[in-house]
Amino acid sequence: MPQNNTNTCQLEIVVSIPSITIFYPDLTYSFSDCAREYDALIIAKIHNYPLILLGEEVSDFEESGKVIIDLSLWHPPVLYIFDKTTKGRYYEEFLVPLRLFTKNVSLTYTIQPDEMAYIWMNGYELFNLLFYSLLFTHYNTSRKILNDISSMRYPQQPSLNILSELSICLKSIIENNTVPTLDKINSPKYMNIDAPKTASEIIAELATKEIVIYFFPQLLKEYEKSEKRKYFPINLAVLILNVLSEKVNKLYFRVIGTGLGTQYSEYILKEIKNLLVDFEINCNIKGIISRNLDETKSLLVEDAHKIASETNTPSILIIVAGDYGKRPFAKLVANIASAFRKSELTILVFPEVIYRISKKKENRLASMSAPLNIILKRNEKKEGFSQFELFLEKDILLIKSKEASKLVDLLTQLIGERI
Amino acid sequence: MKFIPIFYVSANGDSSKDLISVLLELGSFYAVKPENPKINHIDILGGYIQDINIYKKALILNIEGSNSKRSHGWNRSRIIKTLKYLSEVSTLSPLSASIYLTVGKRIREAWRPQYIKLIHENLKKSIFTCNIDLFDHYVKKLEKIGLCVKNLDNRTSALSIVAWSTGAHRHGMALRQIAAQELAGKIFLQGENSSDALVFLTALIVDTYAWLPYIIKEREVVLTTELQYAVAATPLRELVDLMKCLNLPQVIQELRNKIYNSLKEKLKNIPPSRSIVNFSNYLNHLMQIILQDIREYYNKNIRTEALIGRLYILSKEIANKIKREKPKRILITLTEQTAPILIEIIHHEVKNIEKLTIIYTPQTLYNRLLFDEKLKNIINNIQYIPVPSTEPLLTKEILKENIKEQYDLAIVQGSLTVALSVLNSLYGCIDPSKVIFI
Repeated sequence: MPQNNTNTCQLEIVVSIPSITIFYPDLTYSFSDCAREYDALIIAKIHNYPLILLGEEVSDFEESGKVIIDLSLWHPPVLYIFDKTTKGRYYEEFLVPLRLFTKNVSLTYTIQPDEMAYIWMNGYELFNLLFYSLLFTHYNTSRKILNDISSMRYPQQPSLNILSELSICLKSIIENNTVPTLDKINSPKYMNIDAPKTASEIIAELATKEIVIYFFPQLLKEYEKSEKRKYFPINLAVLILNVLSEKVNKLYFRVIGTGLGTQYSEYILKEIKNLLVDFEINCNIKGIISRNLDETKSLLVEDAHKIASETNTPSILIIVAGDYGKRPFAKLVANIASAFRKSELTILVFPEVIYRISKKKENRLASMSAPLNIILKRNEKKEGFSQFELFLEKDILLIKSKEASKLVDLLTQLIGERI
Repeated sequence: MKFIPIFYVSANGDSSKDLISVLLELGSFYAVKPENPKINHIDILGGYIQDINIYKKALILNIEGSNSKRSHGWNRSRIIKTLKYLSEVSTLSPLSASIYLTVGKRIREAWRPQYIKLIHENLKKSIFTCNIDLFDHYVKKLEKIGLCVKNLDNRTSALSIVAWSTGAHRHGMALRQIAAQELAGKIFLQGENSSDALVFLTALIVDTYAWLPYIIKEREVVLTTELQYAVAATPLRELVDLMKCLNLPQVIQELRNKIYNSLKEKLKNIPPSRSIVNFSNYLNHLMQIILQDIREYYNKNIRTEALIGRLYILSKEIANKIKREKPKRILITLTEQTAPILIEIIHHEVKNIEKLTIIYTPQTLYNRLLFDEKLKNIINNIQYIPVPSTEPLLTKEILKENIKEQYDLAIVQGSLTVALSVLNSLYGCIDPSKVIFI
């Protein structure tokens, strides 16, 4: 425990990162709460020797329960901090004996929570990998993962640059027992980044006079039993159409369904149609659905030619809700591209579950969210549509223009079909 | 205690130290790796045990080694406590079985400090032990059938034990698949000790086609949460209703004997595989044996095989792609089910792979670590690229920055957010006819 005594060690805080939230790596796709959130990851020095600590600011006696949670997670060293404002005598009544604590001090951050929130709004998942490996794996394993992260080439992207700096620093601590300078991580200039675009903004930018959307919903087995998850593709479709319908003259929407997903696609189509009426959204909607892939392809091609005759080189949006079978996806996309050779093609994939970053001080910064697993109600249009804003740029795979043409070209060659 | 044994493994000397070390490493999700455990013999008996009204997994351990005060580090007591912690407390660990110990001799009076401490702890926590005679009785039962492992490499044994012990969750399902694939590799690539590998393969098949449907029947939420999107769970869904009218202990014993005898009989005298085509055909043969046995036992057809079906499809695709030209530079994206054997079978035929690029997500961290352990000694140049699975913009940008070289085989699998980003970066770096997109 650090004390102001010349005979004892001086603790020098190098970096203090707020709100470290650790999610189970094997639950990334699931809408799961975190394994544990710590108030800070502290990289410090004592006589120039590095020290990695987790900080837990105690504001409530209830927090003593976290000590037990930590026991189920190998218990990495946690410094419990009781500041002057902590009511009562928690540090005495807290679960004793505490391993590591200090009182009458406040947790200080070298990176402020709101700055960190902006960084993580551009990507948190790899930070989770880094934190998990650092805190819960063996030295050799941790070193391997830090090495993977630090040896990558990075694009100019703020969250990835911080990730790279942090991994280099932690690697140096683990391997050489030294802390390199971390000017970049602590520099306010480095933190000065723009807020990421939202899904609505991204979709709105894709608006042209005429648009055809091909919608690929992920397969959900036993969707009848599902109470919330089954609504993800439905809501996604309606929210996208809501953004585009006001900006587009001719809007075509096609729900694709083939193989095992046929029945669920029929259900999705029906529900979308109902919601479009409720929300007064106009578009030409239809299902391209058949259990047999070749038949689905034929339906698609026939319909595409009809649309082509009614339009003048419309933009094509291929939207995947969650995931889709690769072979049917490649085959159908290749046929869409072939039917609209002169059109501009854009591919978008929306995951069902995303990392949500909060800017509110009282909340943990990172949590998992499945924003569209809700029931959209007619009288709650505004609230429902605001869920769409939770999807940020980082959450959407967007491949457009030349990149999209090249990708479709590759998909066409992969399925080995002459179209 | 109602106990249905399913496998027995035994190791001596350095091999026992290695086995326990790897078991703790894999069982702890790479959180711990004991150096030089102070034991000189270990027996592990795995089976199912009734706990109130549900059948769970149990591992009974007979460990011989130092427990003296002077033996610091990983002595018997510490090993057992760690296993119990991992199995019964740690939520990060995939290991999930009740841990029991054997008692070799009756202690009438505890007078040595370490015995007094041991007895005190056991009484305080009501830790029940398995009498060594009873343990021997179960071992003999298994020996009679042949379900004893004597000479399998320790990594495969440890992986199989961890995979078998896992609960009914997504990662557990993936671990069963990985272990089964690795065992198939042992049987068909190396041939030697294949009867040992068959013991664990039997345990995994029984667990997948009997215990898992039984648990799903008992806990319906398994299907709507953990296994909701798991393709491998499809055959299990087909068996759930059947379990309602069957008696699990009876199913386990009968299926265990049927599967093991059938595998032993139908896979005997198979020479080690010489090529990927050969390997792929063997996998198909194995798959048909499993499907037929399950069909005969339950009198019900299941459409797909959960454990090695994916490896069979991939090996067939790879065999087609490398018929004319042997790939030297390979790229692969990992899924939770991908086992290192997939690359080993290519290496078996190609011999000198110049570069291997492995793309993984946090979801496939465990696989990445398994790959490293197995491939580091056979391929010199391995590049690991971690990417997010739910933040596709970053995935796309990272891959664009890091995939710039030419490849002559790419195995692109997993979710579309990752797979499409990989394809996007591969454009111009590979002949499309060398891409497996599956």
